Amino acid sequence: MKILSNPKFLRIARSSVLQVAQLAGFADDACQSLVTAVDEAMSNIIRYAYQMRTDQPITLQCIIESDHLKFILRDFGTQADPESLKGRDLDDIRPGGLGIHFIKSIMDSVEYDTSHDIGTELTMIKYLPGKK
Amino acid sequence: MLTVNIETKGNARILAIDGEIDLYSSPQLRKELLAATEAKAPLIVVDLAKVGYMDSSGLATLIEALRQTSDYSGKLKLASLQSGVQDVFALSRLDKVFEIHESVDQALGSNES
Repeated sequence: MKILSNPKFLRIARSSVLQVAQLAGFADDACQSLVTAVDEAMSNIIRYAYQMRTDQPITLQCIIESDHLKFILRDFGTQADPESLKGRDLDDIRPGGLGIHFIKSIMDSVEYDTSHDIGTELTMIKYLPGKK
Repeated sequence: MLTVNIETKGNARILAIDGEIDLYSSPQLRKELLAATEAKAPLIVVDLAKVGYMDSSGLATLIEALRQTSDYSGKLKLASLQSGVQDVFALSRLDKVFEIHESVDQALGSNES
């Protein structure tokens, strides 16, 4: 799916991810976690790649493979800075910085590809139940 | 869309939230919490019984409000978290930072002891 970077559309993506996760056979709590991870990734794109511009494209692919569910997010904005992708120490209690932590905690694999001329491609993988 | 119902009980301000808290709606929550902290409400209870989803922007908003209440020696408590929202608090370890209650009544009652 392709949506604009307006935060009001995040719920549409969440709804789609939930349905895909259910189709892939994940239990309810795992489905909710996957929704969280993708939502956080998309929120980060809106915030950092597009600096809260609401008219930029974000593509989301959801692919059910034989042993895993793959999410590919592509933006065409400011490329991700590897230093900012590390997440923060949870003992440092302050607003902000939790999105990356959620993504990396929930997903089995997270890869940022900044080799494109513009923007970033984020691939997140979650192994299907019983397949890891 | 998010709706916030505000009720006052004694010295407590209860914010009952209905909807999903994400990057789109968290500014609205922030505005309501800011109004309560600027008024230096001695006790703010955030009722999350009807919140089916919360992301990190929602958590950030609550952390900010918690800090603000702490600055004037007020209290902020959370009540009635749904399981998905509880999971988000646990994943971020914020369940150890916030005072979380099963119900609004419990949150109000705990202030009296």
